[in-house]
Amino acid sequence: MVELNVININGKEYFEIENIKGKTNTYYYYGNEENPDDFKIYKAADGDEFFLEELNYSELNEAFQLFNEKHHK
Amino acid sequence: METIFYYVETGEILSKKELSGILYGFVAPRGSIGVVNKNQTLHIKDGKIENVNDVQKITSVIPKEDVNDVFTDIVNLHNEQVKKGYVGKTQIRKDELDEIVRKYSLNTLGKYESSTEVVEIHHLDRTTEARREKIQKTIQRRKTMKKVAIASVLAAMSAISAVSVKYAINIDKISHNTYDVLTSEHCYIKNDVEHGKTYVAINDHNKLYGSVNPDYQEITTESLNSLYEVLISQGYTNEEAVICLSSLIPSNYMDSLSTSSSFSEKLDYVLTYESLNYNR
Repeated sequence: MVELNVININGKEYFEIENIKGKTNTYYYYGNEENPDDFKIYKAADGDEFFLEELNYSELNEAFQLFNEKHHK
Repeated sequence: METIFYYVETGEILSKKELSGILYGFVAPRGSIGVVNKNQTLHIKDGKIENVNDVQKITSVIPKEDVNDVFTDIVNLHNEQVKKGYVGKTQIRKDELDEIVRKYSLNTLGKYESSTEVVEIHHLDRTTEARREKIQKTIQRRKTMKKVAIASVLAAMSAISAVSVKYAINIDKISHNTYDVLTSEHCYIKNDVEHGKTYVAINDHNKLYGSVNPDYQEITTESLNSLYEVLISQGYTNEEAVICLSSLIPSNYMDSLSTSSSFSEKLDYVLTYESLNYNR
């Protein structure tokens, strides 16, 4: 067992797997305990780590790219 | 912009600790308090505004006897904002404080009587409203810890990895197909990775008339919109056009184009990609 931060979205709980800092954004990766396929990725809104915001397509590309670079080296 | 609270009699700038103490009623104010945005006209030395006599003429001043009332209002308004979910609970943001003080000045101190100032305040309200809407869509990242099984963490990480590989493959396909469509319309995109710049040539004259070198210019909001319109004219939906351009153009240029799709909708669009409208 590990202790992780959690957020609640539409009544479902997601735990924070990790965060990765990109060129302009910090991305936060969240998983779901019941269903691993149900994950979320957010960015820090205006650089404020207490608020998270949806990604646009370009940011989604970057978030996946950073995740792959980190875990598939 | 940083908001500064200062004592109008002495020019002394209130420390964060003293300001916080007054806000929450632990400390009594030592005089009338002025509120000003930090700017180059302020001459600050050793925690004091030296040109305080000039500064106080152009700023809001809260008389000593009103300080506690104003600050109580600030805290109450902040608590209301927290209840509505507009702001975080832990702190009063500087812009929020500034806005409340401005509103208070407008209603109570009668500082903003000229029409110019009122227009400026209405403009501020609209900006604040847009910010509130944005904040409502954001999610609060509270430090709520929970024990999670390591197997669940690994499973979620594997799922992200698997999706991201498929996503990258499809984005690559989208990128190639989009490039072909744009080229067929004599529009060209070139990324200078080393210098972090993107160049475009739209309906390039040289290429149309057989020259080999399109006339590239650094991408602007206008040229990005032109590329978007080219795809729309080819039968792409708004969503498809934005995905396709995102596959070719770095995110820092893409701010002016957005969609309202959710995270899972965005994933679905890309993961189920075959050829979008390429053959329309």
